[in-house]
Amino acid sequence: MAKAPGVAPFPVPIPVPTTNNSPKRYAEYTVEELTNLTILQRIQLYDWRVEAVTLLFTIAFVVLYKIGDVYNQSLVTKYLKGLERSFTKNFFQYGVTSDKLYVKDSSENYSSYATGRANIAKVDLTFRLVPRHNIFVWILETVMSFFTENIYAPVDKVEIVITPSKDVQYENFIAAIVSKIGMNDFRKFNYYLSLTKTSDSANLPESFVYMGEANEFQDKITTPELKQALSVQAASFLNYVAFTDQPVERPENLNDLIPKKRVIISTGSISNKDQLNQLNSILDAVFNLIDKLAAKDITFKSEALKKVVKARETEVAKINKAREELKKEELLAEKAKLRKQERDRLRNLSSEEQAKLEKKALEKKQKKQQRKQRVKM
Amino acid sequence: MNPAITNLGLMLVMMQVSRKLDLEDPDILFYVRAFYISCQAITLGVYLFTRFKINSKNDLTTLKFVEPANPMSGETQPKAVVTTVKEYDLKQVDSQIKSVFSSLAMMGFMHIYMKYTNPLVMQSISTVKSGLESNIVKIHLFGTPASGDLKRPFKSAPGFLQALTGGVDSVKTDKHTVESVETAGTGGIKED
Repeated sequence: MAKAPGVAPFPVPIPVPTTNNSPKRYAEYTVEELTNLTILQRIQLYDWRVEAVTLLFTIAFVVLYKIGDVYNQSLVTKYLKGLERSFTKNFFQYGVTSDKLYVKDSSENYSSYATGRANIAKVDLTFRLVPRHNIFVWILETVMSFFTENIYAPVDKVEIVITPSKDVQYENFIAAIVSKIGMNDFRKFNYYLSLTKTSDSANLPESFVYMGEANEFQDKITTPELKQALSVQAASFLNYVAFTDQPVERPENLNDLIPKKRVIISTGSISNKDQLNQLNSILDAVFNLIDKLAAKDITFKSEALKKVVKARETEVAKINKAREELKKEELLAEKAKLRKQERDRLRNLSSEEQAKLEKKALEKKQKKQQRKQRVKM
Repeated sequence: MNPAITNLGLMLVMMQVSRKLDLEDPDILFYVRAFYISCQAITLGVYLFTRFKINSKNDLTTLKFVEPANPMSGETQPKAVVTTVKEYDLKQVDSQIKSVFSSLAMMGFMHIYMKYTNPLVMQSISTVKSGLESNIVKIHLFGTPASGDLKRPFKSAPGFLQALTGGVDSVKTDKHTVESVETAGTGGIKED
């Protein structure tokens, strides 16, 4: 750090080049000398290094931003194009409009859509990608995620949410086939998964587990077709296939608990052709499974369904209880406030008035006692 | 032998050693520093090798347990953890690696800013020792079977605060507790 001139004990001489052959620096010219130069001469004389570094840095950032942006976009395109087989076979419309496959919400958020199929109202595809365009955030988040628990390492996430048509009637239940890789986080971020019991099964490849409210549901959703589509390696890109009617985020009021049936398929971003093919078969299997549920080809035992109803009631009771407690607290706080106001009012009265009030209170008490005695007699 | 006792012994020995050393001598200081750095590097190397071993074993056995609520971070309910042996082990190693970094940061402050040299001598061997003594290294590097004391989830030694308050809440693995906490609907935290 440079010392302030007023603080230095004696003035520090500015180093002046002693040899004559070293050129004079810009700052060493006097104002007169500079005004005598032409603008071109002054530009040539000036040391542009700081500006050059700044400019280079800016350009580098812009270029990296563009590269990351384009890369993210290419990931989305590859993914959506890769699923074309299953979607075009099943749906009338694949893409947000007939000629547009996706909408870019930002450099890391994209969404797409499919509609026009029996038994399925719509399919929403949402992409949440790694912020590749913003390299500093990317690096920072990756490093910080190692040291703190509240920051998560950025990963590509694609969610395919299938909403069945309104006229498709099947019972509410939660059952999911979940990849063992990162399953604790899935439970942490999905309220509906945290209502389920996790179990291994010989029905699934060893890299997957069931999370379901009852064995009945998880066994029945594993159609031979879906079972065939899964493999041990699939756990690396498929996070989960979940049938649910409950929200992702923890409910705060009763409205959040209103069942909304959907099938959520969560994956990483895939560009590998084999993996995309596998995902195509998984999607086909899930679409067919919804048909079977709609046609009542798959039905569940009443015991399992009772269990679900009971579990939902418990959750409703939890919210009601929390709400009542909140109300009680509010009531108590209000009462305390009123009492405090009354006390303040009394304190502000003159001593005469206070004495009067005390007398009144005493009389009231006596009257009450008298009345009591009279009743006893 | 109990690591706490050997740690104490090691500390006493190293105290004597650091007393014998002339730490004002720049040559000796250099060697002490080099020794400290290489000890940290060895420890990190051991952990990274363990990490590599865990990844290559890729043990996907499901592991379920219940962690007690941590009142320090505002948790009120115990938390069910459903994970795999691989992920659990990686988490353990990562926390060990983290502790190496935090001790490095502490030492940087003590040595570079406060100019203390003694802790440099004391901390060098004990890091390696605690590294080699950690459960996860024992299992993967020395091939000790993961049973008894090394059964996952590892039991943590009661902390100082816990010993004071008397509440020894440890991880629970019995089926009944796990199942009741597992389906309690504690998930659904908002991301971001």
